[in-house]
Amino acid sequence: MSRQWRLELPLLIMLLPGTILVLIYSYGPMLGIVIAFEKFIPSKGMFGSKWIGLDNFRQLLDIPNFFQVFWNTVFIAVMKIIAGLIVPMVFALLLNEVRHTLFKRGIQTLVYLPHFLSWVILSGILIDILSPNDGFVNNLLKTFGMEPVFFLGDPHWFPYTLIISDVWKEFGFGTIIYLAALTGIDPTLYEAAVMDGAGRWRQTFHITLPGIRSVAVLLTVLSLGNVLNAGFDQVFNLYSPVVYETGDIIDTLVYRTGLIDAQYGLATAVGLIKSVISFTLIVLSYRLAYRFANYRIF
Amino acid sequence: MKAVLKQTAFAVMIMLLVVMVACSGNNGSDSNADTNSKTTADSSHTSNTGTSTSNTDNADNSSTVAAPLGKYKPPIEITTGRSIPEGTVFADGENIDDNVWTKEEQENLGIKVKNVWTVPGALYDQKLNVTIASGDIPDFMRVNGAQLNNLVESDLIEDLTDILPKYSSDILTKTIAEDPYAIKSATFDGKLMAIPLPGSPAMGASNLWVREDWLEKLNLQDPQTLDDVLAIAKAFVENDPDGNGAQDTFGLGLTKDLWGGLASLEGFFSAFHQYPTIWVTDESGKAAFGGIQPEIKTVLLKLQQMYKSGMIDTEFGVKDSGKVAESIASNQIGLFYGSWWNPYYPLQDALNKNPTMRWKHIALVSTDSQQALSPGNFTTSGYYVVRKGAEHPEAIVKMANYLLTKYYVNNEVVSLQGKYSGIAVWNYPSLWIEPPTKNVAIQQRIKKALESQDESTLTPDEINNLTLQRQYTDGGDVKQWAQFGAFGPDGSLDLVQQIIDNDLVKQTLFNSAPTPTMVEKMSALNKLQLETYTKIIMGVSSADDFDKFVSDWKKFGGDKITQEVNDWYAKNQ
Repeated sequence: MSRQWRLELPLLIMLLPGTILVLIYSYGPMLGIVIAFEKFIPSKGMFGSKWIGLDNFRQLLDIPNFFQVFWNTVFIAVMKIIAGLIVPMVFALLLNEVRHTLFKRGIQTLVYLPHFLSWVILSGILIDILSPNDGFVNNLLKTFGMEPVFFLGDPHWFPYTLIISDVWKEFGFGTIIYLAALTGIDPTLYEAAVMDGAGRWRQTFHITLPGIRSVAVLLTVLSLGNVLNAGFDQVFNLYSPVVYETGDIIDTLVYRTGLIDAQYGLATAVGLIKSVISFTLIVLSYRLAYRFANYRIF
Repeated sequence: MKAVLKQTAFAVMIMLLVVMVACSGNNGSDSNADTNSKTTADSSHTSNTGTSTSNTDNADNSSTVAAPLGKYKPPIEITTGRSIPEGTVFADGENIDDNVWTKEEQENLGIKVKNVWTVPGALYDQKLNVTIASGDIPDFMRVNGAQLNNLVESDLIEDLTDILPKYSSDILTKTIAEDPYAIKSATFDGKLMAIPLPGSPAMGASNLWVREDWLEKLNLQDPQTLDDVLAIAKAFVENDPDGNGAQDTFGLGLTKDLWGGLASLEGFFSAFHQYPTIWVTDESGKAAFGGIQPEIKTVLLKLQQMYKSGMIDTEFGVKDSGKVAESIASNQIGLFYGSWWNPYYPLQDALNKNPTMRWKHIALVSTDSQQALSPGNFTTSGYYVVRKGAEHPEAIVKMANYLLTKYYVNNEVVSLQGKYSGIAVWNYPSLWIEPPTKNVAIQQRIKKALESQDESTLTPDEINNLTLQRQYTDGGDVKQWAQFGAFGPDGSLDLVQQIIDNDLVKQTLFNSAPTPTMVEKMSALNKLQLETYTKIIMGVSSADDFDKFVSDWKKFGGDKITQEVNDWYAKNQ
């Protein structure tokens, strides 16, 4: 026992700062959930405000199009997760085949640059390049004889514009993780496969993909926890009344009710629902990951 | 099963532990706050005894403080949180805490205002909401109606019922009285909880701005009816008014917000005698929301046709006022509904880029012989509140007295020459209040002086104004056009005077700070309205969706709000 303690004590001490931070910044604020059940008056505080039970949740149903907003959030987030999973992986596989180091590095740097631009800046750029009258993208469509598309002002196109622009911004960054995973595959496996007469496709299917499977599963599980985070910054900077129908998400709703209208109780109730669903989803995905990919953290 | 139970029990235990730790933490901070307040109480006590030791002129001092412009001896310090308007420039060596205005206040009133926080104008409401939520508010600050409600409900602010009449100067009393609804809206259960900032619906009235040079080029007359406006818009789209050979112009400018002082729609609806942003009387004589009246549908259909034929910018749905200002500057828009201050923004910027551009303002036109009225919102534009327990609640009254006396009665403008040339010094004071129709009065006086050719009656402020105008009219300096466009003898403010004279405002029936349900629901309903209107105009949804909007509007709180407005109206009409 004492020997085991001596071995583990340094590790436990190393764990301490992180644990304290989590307690203060992740568990502490959870107390604020109480507000969701109160008619919260800031000066009276959490303990002085009147308890109204589920009234805030009932009021949620009175928000016009609440379910639409909910559906938008799920749709945009799920599509982002799927696209954000496939695109970087495919890109990493392709990039991995490039033998010219300088070219490879150059491309890699180029594609992850947008990650460092904020949505405030990017939205201004996107409004200009997606303009149906004189934007670059629509000019391109017109040269191919297609009808110009109002990407940011058409409820049908808006969610896809969100998803594509988000993937464009972030896929370069995701690629890095897959490239790292790819370097972790034992090269002797490829040599053996070549000896057995496997071509490029065979190698990819039987060595490369299984080799990065655990990373892919890990990233999926992690991103499922974010399933209801459809990206406040992006949506907030790009949306407008005409695309509220398909573009309004829970976070922008919380922002408007909570910060703009100062209805903290209601906003907390929305946030709470969001958290509960996210929690359920992450538990579910974790179970699925264990069952199908034999992957588990604990 | 057992394992699950065990896990759950463990999780619950951890949660309880966390709650306990956090609670005890809270208690700790509470007791801290207690000791804090005790020490401040103590220190104020000592400072009191400190003043009473030098009590030779104490009695004398209190009487000067009681006077509207009396000076505090010794000087006091009060705290505030404020917004700094975008584009505020400070003279060399000055900043928001130390400038010509703060010096004035300290020298003449003995008041030092300390800014505990400052934010850009656009972020002010958010910052304020957070501050109110924290419960730790500065000694005084400017709030909006909803925030005032919130503060009253939270019991965070001082009752000013006795303080305002006691310390108010004549000019302050007169200024506030200019807005008949101001005092009432700041009164809760018979107690005056704030100093209201008076407004005038005429100042917010809509007018029509049109490119005069384009009209001349296409041989068009000033519009007399809405049909003329539509014909002009059509001509501006199709007849290439900018002469560049490309069809790249729009008729009517519009922002995605639909309402407001720039490229908005209120004036367009007025032509049909519809007022979608205010409370009107329905057929039964009761208060009803203008935005859900059945006639609105016709107007929306008209706008939909205009959009289809390219008279409205096809991209208006994503353009904010900044983007529309860009379009105006780049010769794409020749017509828009706006307000009297548009010469300053965005037209002056546009003229700086294209000095040949000429803009002209026109009174609202109507579809029939009946005069078009501008919708008059509840205009009390804000409130100054004092923190409950502030030591000198009267200080803001004195600051308001001083500001009005200095800027308005004595007309001592900070010199426009020299150090403060071209600097908007009126952005400096931490408290601003002015007679709502001040600018119209200035414009009218200048106009009369020019007519009678007697400029000796003008105040220094007005002479400065006239000098700037002459830099445009006589000196040909296009950069001063805005001054002429607004304050000139035929400027946009002259139109405001006509609106006042002829009573061309349709005043809303509800003249008060928002009702409880409005606070909760109105912004969601406004959003629904904006969304529906925009989509109908853009043709994304058919005009029949308007009927669905009306029933949704009623269902999601509109009926309750209408009830509250009717209750208010029954009590206050």
